[in-house]
Amino acid sequence: MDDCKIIDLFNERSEKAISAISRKYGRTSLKIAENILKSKEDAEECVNDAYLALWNKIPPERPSPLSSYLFKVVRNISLKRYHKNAAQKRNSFYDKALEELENVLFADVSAEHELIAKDIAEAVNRFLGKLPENDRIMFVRRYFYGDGVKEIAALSDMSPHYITVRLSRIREKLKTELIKEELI
Amino acid sequence: MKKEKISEIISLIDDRFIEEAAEVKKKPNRIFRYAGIAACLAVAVIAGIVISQSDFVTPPPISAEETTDSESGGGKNTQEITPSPEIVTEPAIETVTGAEMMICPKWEDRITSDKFPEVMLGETSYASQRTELAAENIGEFISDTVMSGYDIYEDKTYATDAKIYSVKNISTDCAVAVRIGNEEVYYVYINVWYTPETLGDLIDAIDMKNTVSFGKAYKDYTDYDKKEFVSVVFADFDDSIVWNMLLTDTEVKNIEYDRFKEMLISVSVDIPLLGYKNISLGVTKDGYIVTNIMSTQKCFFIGTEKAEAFEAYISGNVAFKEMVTVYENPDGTIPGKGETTPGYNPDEVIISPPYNTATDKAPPEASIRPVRPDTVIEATTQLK
Repeated sequence: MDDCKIIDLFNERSEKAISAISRKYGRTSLKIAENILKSKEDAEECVNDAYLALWNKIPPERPSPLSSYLFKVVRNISLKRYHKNAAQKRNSFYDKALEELENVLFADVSAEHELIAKDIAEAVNRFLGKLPENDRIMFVRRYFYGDGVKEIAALSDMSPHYITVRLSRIREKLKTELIKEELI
Repeated sequence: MKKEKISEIISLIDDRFIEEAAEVKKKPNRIFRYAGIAACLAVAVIAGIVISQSDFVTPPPISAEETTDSESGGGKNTQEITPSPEIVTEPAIETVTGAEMMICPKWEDRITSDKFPEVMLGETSYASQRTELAAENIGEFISDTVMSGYDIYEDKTYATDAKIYSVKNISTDCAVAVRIGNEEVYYVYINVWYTPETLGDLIDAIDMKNTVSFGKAYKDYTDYDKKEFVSVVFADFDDSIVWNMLLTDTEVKNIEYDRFKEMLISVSVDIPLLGYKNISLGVTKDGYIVTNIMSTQKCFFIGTEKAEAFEAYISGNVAFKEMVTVYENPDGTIPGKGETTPGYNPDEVIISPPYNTATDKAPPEASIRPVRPDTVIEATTQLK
């Protein structure tokens, strides 16, 4: 079913909307949540919460593209849960992905220099736009979807070592760009 | 706090990149090298079934005048439409899952440059192009090195000695030749991050005059009224046309460019020496040359006058053929024809609608379910 049809179901307040969106994007949504939370039960709850959030937002909203809108909602809800859980125990898996970027975004930052997320995000998007497609996909799979290096390696027919090196180079280039733009 | 800030930044990654990465499994030819082969086979099989089950209704060939008319009518939305190959891709690939989608050959089945996909020379990384170089193209010895490879099945890492050479007439900023282990074979490895300052730098660095050949030209547009996606393919033409009309000003700078600008016409590019086949050199409506020579985008402003002159010359002087995709109505009728295509099964193929959800209004219900490239016109026409 195409996205317009799914949104129409939301507009009609039809419960089929939930099963339709779940059939089409459920697996990826669950993967995003699981990558962050490392708990199937927590991930399922977050994905269900995301569907509910969409139910409450559509209408009046008519997100396009629907997929990335849903994935962002799933990610945000999962992160909230993650930060709540993290107060009790650390999830070294997702922490590692964040730490990789921490070295890029905070390495040269003096304490009083406040990062402006929106400006940095815009610069990151410009940077991603210039990357070769495969590198961009690698970056987004790693840091947005939270995929592990081995998973990306399996997807891309490259060794984990290659992916690690490639991601490290991409981060270095990102850092150089951000410094050049005086954002960090 | 830092982690929350990073999470916030990552949450603001552009939708189009999130979508692109989400589609990796659906479109394996992007990042998956080997899955593409399996997917293509599946596409061929399914396309074959669809075609064999239908007696296509073929509208009369489009004349040169009609082409011009529809082009001016649908030009504003050029490049925003899902072209016909998409139509069979999605359902086809869903039939190729799990083990069938085996994306990585066994270690022993890989060619040596696949086993060792990257080589370092100083701080520069070069990626394998899976292309062998003849001994006559090998330049000077540069250095010994050690390369590593990974067997994903056995979880083993391998290391091998290798020798790095220059490639004759090619700058080492762009590519090197590598002899791996004791093999008497040289493979080309590319620095995909090579960024020339000017068009002239690029031309010189890879000796474009001698290594590059241009192929067919392509122009796409959509006729919304007829619900047709038209892809015009121009026959091979003399390379000197590209050189004389587009690549004369070698001083133009390589600049950053928004990749979503509209393309006026593009030309296929082969660089056999460096392992490139059917890559692209495009001319945008706002006067830029955009190319993926050396794998990453390079962009040079040449002005709208030159861009339009090139497009006009090719359109007016080179033989072409058109592929027209007609989108069917949900009931299987072809818009404007009132006939049902035999063998049409609406559940068989589902694809994105023929409009851009981000920028266009939703189309009328009748065009929600476009289906397949069921009308192909091959009208080879020599204008003038």
